[in-house]
Amino acid sequence: MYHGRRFLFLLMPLLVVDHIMKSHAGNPVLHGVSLALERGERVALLGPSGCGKTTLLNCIGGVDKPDSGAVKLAERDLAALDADALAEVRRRSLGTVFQFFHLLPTLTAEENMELPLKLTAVPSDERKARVQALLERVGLTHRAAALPGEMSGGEMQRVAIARALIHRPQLLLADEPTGNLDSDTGTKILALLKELSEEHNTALLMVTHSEEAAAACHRVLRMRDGRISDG
Amino acid sequence: MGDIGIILRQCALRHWRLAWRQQALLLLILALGTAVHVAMRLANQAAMEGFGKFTETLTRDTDWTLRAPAGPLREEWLREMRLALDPLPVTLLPVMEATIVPAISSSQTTIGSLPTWRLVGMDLVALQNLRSSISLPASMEQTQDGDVFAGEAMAKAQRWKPGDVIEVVINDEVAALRLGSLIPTLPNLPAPPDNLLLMDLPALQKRLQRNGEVDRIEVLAPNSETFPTLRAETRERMEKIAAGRWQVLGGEDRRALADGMTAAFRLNLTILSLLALLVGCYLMFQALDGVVIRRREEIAILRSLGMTAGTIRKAFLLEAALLGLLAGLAGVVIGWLGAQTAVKGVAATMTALYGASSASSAALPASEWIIGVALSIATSLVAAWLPASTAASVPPAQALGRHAVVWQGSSPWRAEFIGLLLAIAAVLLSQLPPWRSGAMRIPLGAYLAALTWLLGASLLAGGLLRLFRVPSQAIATVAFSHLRRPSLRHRFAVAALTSAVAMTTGMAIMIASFDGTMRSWINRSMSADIYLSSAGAQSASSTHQIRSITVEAIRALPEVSEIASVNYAVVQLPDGPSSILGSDMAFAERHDLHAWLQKPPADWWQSDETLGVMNESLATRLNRGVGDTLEVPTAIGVQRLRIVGMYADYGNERGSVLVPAERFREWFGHSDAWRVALMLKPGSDEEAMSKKLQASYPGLSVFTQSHLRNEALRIFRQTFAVTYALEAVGVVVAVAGLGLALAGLMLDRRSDLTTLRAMGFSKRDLARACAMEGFGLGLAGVVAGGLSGLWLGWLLIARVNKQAFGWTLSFSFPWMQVLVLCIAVLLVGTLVAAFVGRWSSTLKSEQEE
Repeated sequence: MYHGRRFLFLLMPLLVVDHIMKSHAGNPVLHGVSLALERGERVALLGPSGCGKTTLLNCIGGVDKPDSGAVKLAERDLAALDADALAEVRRRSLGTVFQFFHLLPTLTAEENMELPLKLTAVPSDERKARVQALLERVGLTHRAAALPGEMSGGEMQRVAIARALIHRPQLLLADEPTGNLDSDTGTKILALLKELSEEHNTALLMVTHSEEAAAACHRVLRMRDGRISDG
Repeated sequence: MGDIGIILRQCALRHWRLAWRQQALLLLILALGTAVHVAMRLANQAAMEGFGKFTETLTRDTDWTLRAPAGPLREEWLREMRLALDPLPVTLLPVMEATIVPAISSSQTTIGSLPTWRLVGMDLVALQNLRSSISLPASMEQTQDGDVFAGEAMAKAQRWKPGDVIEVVINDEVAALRLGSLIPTLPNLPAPPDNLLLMDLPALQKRLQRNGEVDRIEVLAPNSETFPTLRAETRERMEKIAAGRWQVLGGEDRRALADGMTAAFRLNLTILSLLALLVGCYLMFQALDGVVIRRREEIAILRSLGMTAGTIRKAFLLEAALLGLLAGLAGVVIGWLGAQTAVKGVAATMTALYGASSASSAALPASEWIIGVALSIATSLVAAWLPASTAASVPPAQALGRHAVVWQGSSPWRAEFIGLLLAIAAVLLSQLPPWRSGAMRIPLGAYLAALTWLLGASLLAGGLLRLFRVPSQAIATVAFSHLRRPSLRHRFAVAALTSAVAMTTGMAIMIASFDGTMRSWINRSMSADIYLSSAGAQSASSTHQIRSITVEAIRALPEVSEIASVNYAVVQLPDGPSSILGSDMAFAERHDLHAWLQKPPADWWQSDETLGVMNESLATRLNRGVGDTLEVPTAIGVQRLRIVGMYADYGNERGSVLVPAERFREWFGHSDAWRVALMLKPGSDEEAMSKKLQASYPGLSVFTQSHLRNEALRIFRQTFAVTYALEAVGVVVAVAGLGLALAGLMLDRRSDLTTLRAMGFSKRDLARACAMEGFGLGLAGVVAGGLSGLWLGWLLIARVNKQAFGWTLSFSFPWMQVLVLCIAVLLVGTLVAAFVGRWSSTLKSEQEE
C-alpha cells in the first residue's frame, strides 16, 4: 500500500493552475485563470496581445507571484516556496524558451547549453556528453564554439531550446518560440520542440499567436482579457 | 534647434524633475571637481599676490629695484647714484629687510610652527617726502626712535595696540619692539599685508648691526607725460655706473623672479586641480552612460518618431552643457568658500618653501567665474561625448523590441596594441632632458611619459581580462564570461582602477625611496651631538643668523669638544638665486658628514687655488660637473672657483656651493653662522647641555641629534601628507567608478538577468555573479596597476625627481604597503560590486508581451 502511494503522484497532473488572479498597478491582468497539464502533454496558449499570456507564464515559472489562487507543479504549491526554493524549482523542473532567444551574449553555444547543468552541479564529464549529444540532436555540432552574435535566428533558437531541455525539466515554458523567425525556420523549430519534448517526456506550455504552432500541440487553450475562454 | 528643444523640455528636464536626487548627485560630482580646481586657483593667486606685495602698500609698485648680486648694497653708493641721476626727478628709497618671528619661551620647538614676519626698514623721512602720493599718517612722525609700525589687519590679528611691546627673535637675540602706530589702509592701495612690520631705516641698521648697508634701493619716478623716457633713462644711467655692484630690476623682472621661484609649486597645484576635474569627468562619464542606458527605450521612441541621430546627440550634449553650467556656478561658489581655508595652507607652504606670503583670504574675480563655468561645461561635454554618441546610435527596433543584445565588445587586441605603442612611447619620452627656463627645470618629458604610460597601462589592462577562463561553477561562468569578452564599460572601469593603483603604487615607491634615502642621509650628515640655529629660522626665506660673537662664547663652554659653523649667503646666479655655504671642512671630513657622489681630493680645502664643491641640485640645475669652473658673485666681486667634488644634499632644490669657512669670510666679510654643530666632550649629557644653552640663549633653537633627526623626518613626511590624501581620493573614485560601471552594465543586461532568473539563478546568485565580476575587474586593475606602478615609481625617482630637484634617490619598494593597498582595493571593489549585484537582482524583469 505504502509503495503504491509513492507513485500516486504520477497519476496527478504535472501542473495545476487554480483560479489565479493578478493585477499590475491596480489593473487586473488575470481573472481567476485555471488550467492543468499532464506529463508529456503539449498545450498551446493562444490569445491576442495584452490578454495576460506572459503574466500567466511568469506566474507558472515562479518569477512572478499571483495575488490569489494557486500554482502547483508536481504537487508543490509554488506560493508556499521562498525565493530560493522557487529558484531551485526553476533550475531543476522548468525550462524556458523566449521569443528573442535570450542567449547569454558572452557565452558560446555550448557554454550557454552547459550553464543549467552547472547550476545543478552535474559532473563535468556528464555535462560535456549531454551537451555534445544535444548539439548533435539540434544539428549544431559545427556551431558549438559560436557566440550568439555570430549565429542566425534559427540557430539561436535551436540553442535556446537545447538549453531549456538539457537539464531534463518536467515542464517547458515557451513564449512565442517562433515569433521572431521566418516561417520555414519556425516550422523546423516547432518540429524540433515537438520531437524533443516527446523524447524527454517533457510537458510543453507554449504561448503563441500561430495556428500552425498550436496544431503541433495536443490541446489548445484560448485566452482573452485575462480569462481562459475554452480548452 | 526646435527638435532639440522638444527633447530637452519634454524628456531631459522632466527626467531631472522626476529623478531629482540622482540629478543632484550628478551635479554635485561635477561641482566638486570644479570647486577643487577653482579653490586651488584662487588660493594660489591669493598666496602669490601676498608673496609679491611686501612693500607695495607703502611705496606703490616701484619703477626699478637695485639689488646686489651677492651680499648687501653699501649706503655710500646712494650718493653716487643720486649724482648720476641728477637732474632726473626720481626718488631713491633705501630698504633693509629681515625676517623675524615672535619669541616663545619653550625649548625644542617644532620647526615651521612659528609665523615668519618681515621687518622692513625704510627711511621714514624719505617716505614723508613722498606723502603726496603715499600719505602716511601724521602719527608716524610722532613716535619714538626704534618703534615699529604694523598694518591694521596685523594689529587686529595679533591684538596689538599702539604702545604695546612685541617680543621677537632677530638673528639670535630676543628683542623687544614697541609698536608706534598703525599703518592705515588707504584708498586705491592694497591693505598692508598681515606679516609686515615697518621700522625707520637707521634704527633697523643699528638693531641688526649693519650700519652702512642696505638690502635694496627702490627707485620711484613721478607720473607725468615724460614718464616712459624718464624710466628708460633712469635704467640706463643706473646700469652704466653699476660695475657689477648691483642689478637693475623692473616690475616685470621682479614678477618673473617670483614666478620663477614658485613655478614648480604652481605647476604642481595646477596639475592637482586638473586631476580633480579629470576625476569629476570620469565619474560624470559613468553616470551619463547610465542615463543613456536608462533612457534607451525613450531614445528609440524618439528615433521612431522621426528624430535624427544627430538631433539625439546634440540634445544629449546640450543637456550635459546645461548640467555643466549649473555645476560650474555651484562649483565656483563652493570653490571660493574652500579657497578661504585653502589659502592659509598654500600661503604657509609658499612661506616655508620660497618666502613670506601673507595671504589670508581669496578674492573671486569675474574672470574666475568665467574660467570655472567654462571648464565645468567643457568637462561635462567631454564626459558626455561617448554616451551621447551611444545614445545617437541606439537602433530603434532593437531597443523597442528589447530582444537579446549581441556582445558588443571592442575589437580583439586593437586596444592592447595601442596600449603597447603608448607604453613604448612612454619609455622613449622618459629619456628626454628637462625643459629649462632660467633656474627652473620642468621634467616635461617625464611628466608626458607618466601620462602616456598610465594611458598605455590602462589600455593594456583591459587585455588582462581576456585571460579569465570560464570555470565549472555556474555563477563564476556567468561572471567571468563577461570579463573574457570585455565591453567598453569593463575597459573603462579597469582603466580607472589601473590608473589609481599605478599612481598610488608609484607614489608609495617614491615616498619609500625618499624616506630610505633621507634616513640614510640624515644618519650620515647629522652626527653632531647638538645643533643650533636662530629660533627665527622657520623657513627657507629666513635671514636669521647666529652672530660670530655668540659662536665664540659657546666654543668657550667647558662641555664643548668641537664646534663648527656653516655660513650662508644668497647669491644671484645668471639663471636665478642660489646659496654659497662656508664650512669647517676639516671638521666635516673628520666626522664624515658629506655623502659624496664624487669625492674631492684629500685636504682640498688647504689648496691655494680657489676650489669648491657643489651639491647635486646645483650640478643638475647648471648642467655642470666636477672639473668645471663656476663664476659666483660675492660681496667683493665675481669670483671664479673650480669644482672638485659633488655631494648629495636633500635640504634644498636651489642648490649650493660649499667653500672653506675662511674663503667665505674673505668673500662676504663676516662669519655669522647659519647653522652650528657641537661635539660634546665624553661624559657630557646632551639633554642637560641643550637645556643649558636654551636658558642662556633664548634666541636660539637648540636641537639634540635625535630631536633634529625626528624634526627633519617630520617635515619630510608633512610634505607628503597631501599626497596620501590624493591617493585615497584616487582609489575611492576608481572604486566608485567601478560601482557605477557595474550598475550601467547591469541595467544594460536586464534581459540577461531575466533569462538567468528563468534558468533558476536566485537573487543571491545574481549578486554573487556581480561581485565576482567586480572582483575580476578589481584583480585586473590591481595587477596591471601594481606592475605599471613599479615603472612609474622608477620614473618619479630617476627622472622627475632627478630632473626637477637634482636628487639621486635609492629605490625602495614598500611591498607591504602596496600589498595592503591591493587587498583593500580588491575587497572594497568586490563589496561595491556585491552591493550593485544585490540592487540589480531586484530590477524588474523585462516582459516581451
